[in-house]
Amino acid sequence: MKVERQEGRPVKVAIVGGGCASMAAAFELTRPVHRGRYQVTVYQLGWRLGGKGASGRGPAGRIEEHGLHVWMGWYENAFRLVRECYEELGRDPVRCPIAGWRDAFVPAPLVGVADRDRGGSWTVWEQLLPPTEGLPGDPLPSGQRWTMRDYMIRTAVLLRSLLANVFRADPGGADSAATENPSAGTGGWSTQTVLDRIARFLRYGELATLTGLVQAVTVLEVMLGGLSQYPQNVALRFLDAIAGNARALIEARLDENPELRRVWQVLDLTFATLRGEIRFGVFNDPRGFDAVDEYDCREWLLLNGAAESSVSCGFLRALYDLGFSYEDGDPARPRVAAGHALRGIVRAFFTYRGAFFWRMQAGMGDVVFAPFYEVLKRRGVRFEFFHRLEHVRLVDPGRLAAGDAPYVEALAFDVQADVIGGREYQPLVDVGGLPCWPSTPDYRQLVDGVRVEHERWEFESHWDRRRARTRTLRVTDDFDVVVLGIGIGAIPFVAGDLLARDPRWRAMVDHVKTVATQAFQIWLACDLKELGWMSPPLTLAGFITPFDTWADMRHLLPREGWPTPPRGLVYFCSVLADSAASDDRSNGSFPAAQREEVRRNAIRFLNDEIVHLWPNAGEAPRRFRWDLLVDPTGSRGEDRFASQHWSANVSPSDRYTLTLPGSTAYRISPLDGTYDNLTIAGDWTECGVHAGCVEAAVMSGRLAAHAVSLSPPLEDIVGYDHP
Amino acid sequence: MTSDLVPRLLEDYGNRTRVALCEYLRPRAPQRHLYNLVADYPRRGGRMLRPSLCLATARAFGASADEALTSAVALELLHNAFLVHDDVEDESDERRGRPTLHAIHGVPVAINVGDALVVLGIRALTDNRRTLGTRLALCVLEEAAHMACESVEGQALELGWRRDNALYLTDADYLEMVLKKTCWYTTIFPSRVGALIGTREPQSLDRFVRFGFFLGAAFQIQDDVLNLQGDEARYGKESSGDLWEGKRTLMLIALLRAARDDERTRLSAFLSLPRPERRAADVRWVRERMAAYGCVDYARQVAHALAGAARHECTALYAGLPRTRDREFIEALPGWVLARN
Amino acid sequence: MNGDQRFRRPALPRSQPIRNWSTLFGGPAGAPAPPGASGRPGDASVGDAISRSVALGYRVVDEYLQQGQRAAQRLADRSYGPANVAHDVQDVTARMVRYTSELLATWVDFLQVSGGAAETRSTAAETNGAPGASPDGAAYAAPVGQATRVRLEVVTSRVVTVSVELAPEAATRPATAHALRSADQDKPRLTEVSLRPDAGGPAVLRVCVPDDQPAGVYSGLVVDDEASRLVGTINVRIGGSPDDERSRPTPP
Repeated sequence: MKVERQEGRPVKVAIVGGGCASMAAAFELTRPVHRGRYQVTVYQLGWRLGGKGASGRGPAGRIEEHGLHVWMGWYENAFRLVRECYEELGRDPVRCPIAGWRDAFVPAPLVGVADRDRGGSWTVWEQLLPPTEGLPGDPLPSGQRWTMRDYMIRTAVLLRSLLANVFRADPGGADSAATENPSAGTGGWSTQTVLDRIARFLRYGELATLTGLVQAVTVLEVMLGGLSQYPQNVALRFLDAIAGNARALIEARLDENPELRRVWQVLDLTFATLRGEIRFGVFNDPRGFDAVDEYDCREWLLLNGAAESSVSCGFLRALYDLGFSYEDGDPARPRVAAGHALRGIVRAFFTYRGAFFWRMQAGMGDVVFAPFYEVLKRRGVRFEFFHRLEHVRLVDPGRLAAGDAPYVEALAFDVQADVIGGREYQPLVDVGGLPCWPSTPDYRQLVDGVRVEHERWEFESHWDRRRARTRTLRVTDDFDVVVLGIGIGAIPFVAGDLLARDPRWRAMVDHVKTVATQAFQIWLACDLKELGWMSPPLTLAGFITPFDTWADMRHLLPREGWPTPPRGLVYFCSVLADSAASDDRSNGSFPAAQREEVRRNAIRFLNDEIVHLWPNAGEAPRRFRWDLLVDPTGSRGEDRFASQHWSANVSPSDRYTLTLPGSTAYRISPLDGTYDNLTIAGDWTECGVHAGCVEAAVMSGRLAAHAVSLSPPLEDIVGYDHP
Repeated sequence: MTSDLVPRLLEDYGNRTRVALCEYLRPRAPQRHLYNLVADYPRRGGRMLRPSLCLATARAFGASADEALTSAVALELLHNAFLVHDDVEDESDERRGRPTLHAIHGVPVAINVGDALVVLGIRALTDNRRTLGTRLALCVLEEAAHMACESVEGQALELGWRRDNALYLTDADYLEMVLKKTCWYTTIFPSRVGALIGTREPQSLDRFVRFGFFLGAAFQIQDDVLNLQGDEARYGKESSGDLWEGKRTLMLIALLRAARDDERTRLSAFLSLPRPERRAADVRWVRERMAAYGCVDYARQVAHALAGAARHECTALYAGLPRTRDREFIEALPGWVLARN
Repeated sequence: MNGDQRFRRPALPRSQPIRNWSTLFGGPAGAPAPPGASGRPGDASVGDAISRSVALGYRVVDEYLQQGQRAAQRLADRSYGPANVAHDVQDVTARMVRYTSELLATWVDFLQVSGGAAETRSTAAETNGAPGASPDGAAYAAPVGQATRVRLEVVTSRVVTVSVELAPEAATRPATAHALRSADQDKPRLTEVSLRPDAGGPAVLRVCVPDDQPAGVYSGLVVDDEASRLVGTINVRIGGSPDDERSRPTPP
């Protein structure tokens, strides 16, 4: 009974939202291989693409972001698409400072974790994570499969190298030979051999020496390679014996080398992770890491024997900070699903390519969304700016025939502004040869532009509902299939039909939560070195709330348009606590009130806290040297802050997606076929990686494209089939 | 995989259960109006799928059949109790080739007999203390209470549909009802209890719910299909007991969805009649309409789909266990559910 | 609008990630082909119905499970001790002698104690096996680090070993210590056992062992008066030789 679309008439795809997920979906659906079968239109509110990743250019061409965006070396899908995009873009390097993707993304291997010691002073643990083979987005060897078994083996290898490093300076130097090649000769060991070896370790106290420990970890590695063949209690006893002895050996050396405490904390967490993976049967479970998503990460580690002090160490705190994992934005409630956290950690540490972090050399809008915009336009994608989705209307169930699936009948938009002459809106501006998005729309292109500018219409604010007119798109006439690529925060406001009729959508919206974030950027007249911060540029997390995460962004200064460039540029961000007014759509003063709160937070932070890391930045106790800020208006004291950039990201669609314990089961996949002309895309969907990050969004966009066109094949979406 | 593994094990475990069951059906006073009748339904035979699944699961997880036998007997007693009461509630005429209990002895006696079977089932469950120990026996008892609650709720759903003459049901409604009314005591409870006895650990038993649901739903839908189609082959005449009862099978729901307005009106009238007033001509018409709209084929497809999902869940569930005959039996059940007639 | 011409998304061969290759079932296709289906081979509507049915099935059961989880979380922990323990104390006690090892125990051994304070501490249980999120698992875990204080008075001239396990409620709420029985029916019971609250101090557990009491192991239950719940056990071993009918090995 199903009629195939007639040849020649393209399928009209309406993509709502202009973030990473939507761009990925559009990029996939318009690949040359489809030969124009899919006619894509992107509907975006306001004047710029990017969603949570949008950035603008302000006075002096300065970059103004929502917050801090880092790309990680395991973002295989995101890098692959970005690289293909730049390839297709073909910019002239003579004219454009960011022509190739290596100009856009630069390795940033130095990371920092802030820790408070017993005396109350802050120290920073810097780690240089070594570069690895290849580059992210490179083709992977075909048939590559990540398995739990491989991860567990790699964890054991990591244990071994951590232990070996601890004792590198050990006076018992004769042992070092054993650490160099301990796994020689273990190939082909049978299960019984391993069990005998384990029994010997446990019985004869060999674990009390370094050599013994390292050899034991080698045996552990072999055992983890075939874990299901060993009785669980033997495996656990062996692991516990190794952990106990390692701890004793390290504690004996702590007096001479207090740094070892940090290493022990990481070791302790690693042991706890392995223990948990064995006890909870994660290595065997068809759900992979999802099997322990009911637990909070810290709680799970404690359950598996990690010490309280290890679990509150800076390293773990930094991980929570990087993922904004605080329920309702409350710093007293750190929560993240354990399975998701484990998956993120193994991907981040074990599978990164090139560098652990990659930093962008301009705003994310400039580096990612402008190129995508240009390439997609060339491919024939249409962009409708100033279109805000108001309602997704489902067909009345009474009109469905037997065996038919429900579908989307209409999309209702508010058109916030019309373009003069009905022309297409030109969104980009040139800053130093680079096409960029501005921080405000180009009012001259808009009908009634003067009024809109004068009345300060906030196109990107959930609370400003002003519009020029409405517009309703209908199925078959205006669109055939919908890709809903908006943030989950916005879903309750636009998907009333879906929520009313589909309990899964209700459950998803109830459980998959978001958190508001706050951020600020300061331009400094002084080098950070002069302020007492001696380290090279790095990204730091785990510092005090608010603004527990910050990054030295001086590399962006050449991309801005300052007549005299400032000497320093730093970004700060963290979660922002929810208040009762967060959801009230009628409370128009809410966003301004939140912005004011962020401003006060920033000022207080600079006065009180930053001196812990920048000793020379205070002119008196609790007083920041406000003259350090570059302020063209010449204000005095803390008023100088008014010229900097800060933002309260409180609009529902701008809120960051969390992965709370017990929530991942409620996510819906873009491949879900309940509605036969609708799919979803975003980092909040069930896309294989349940994280609020670019990679998850890109994967979901590729999945959405697959749902519509069967391309790309699922095997092509790196990391989708993954424990 | 041997093709007769399932029938063989069903017979083996079924016989063991029957022997143990007889201990509870020993005649005592009052015989004529109670204990003779109590033994009636259990004696009529049956596939013994439920006790077999319970025993096989227990053994697959490492227990002996004897440890699970009492629970299997309890389940079979409760199952027969449900049958007796269901027959009264559905106003059925026939059960396993013979008249229903209330048709022979009247409704009041039948209700009491059903109650007695429940009591015997509870006694069997408390007897578990001797073989399993108090703690485990309590867990099994709690499982049984939960299962009974679900069955009762499921039956309430179905009775409600009939009473309100519901016409606009969806497949999801049907599946939810089947999950509660049938799957819990046919497949979910036996699996959960078997696993409980086998591992002696109260643990996360939710994973059996999915497997049991798909298996039980496929089983029930296929049963309904056979009710319409199987009789012709076996008895040479149409029986269509479900149609006479107006039972909301997946096929009837599909028909109600697909029918034209005038057809739906006629269907509604037919369904609102009390059972004695329904006519053979109408039943024939309903059958013919079902054939016209492909409802039976649709139901068969759904049964196949769910059996496939059951097989998938089963593989995931039992993956870590040693490959024993019992594990193979369980894994073969989804296929058997479809292939039997 | 003619429904026939409306675009429909294609049927997907797979809609879930493969997280564990070793448990993957079937080939890349997923759901097995239905034998005997009336659909023509390659008829996409059969595939539609199948994948929709499976999706629908998953949806129904997952919804159901989530409701169940929520309900379970709302209810209090399922209690280990059933309400009818007090009614069947005798029966249960006899079994308890055999199954004492199943309970968590902090065993406090005394030799010829009279007066003096005893402090019992319940320790955190080690949850082995399958520590799932189900409330059943809670039956084993005791609160960490709580101290339940009782004063133990043992009046006897024999050599006795007294072992006590008490939940925190036993020390504060009215509870009855039932007579201690031996597994051997012939031996008389130890009836002079009592648990009395003491104003201003810890509750007093008093055990009197007559001189002519036969050697053996005697066990008894402490039952909460109001809730009829099991809140503790008392175990007395009389005589020097270890008793054969002592506890079964602790389950792993």
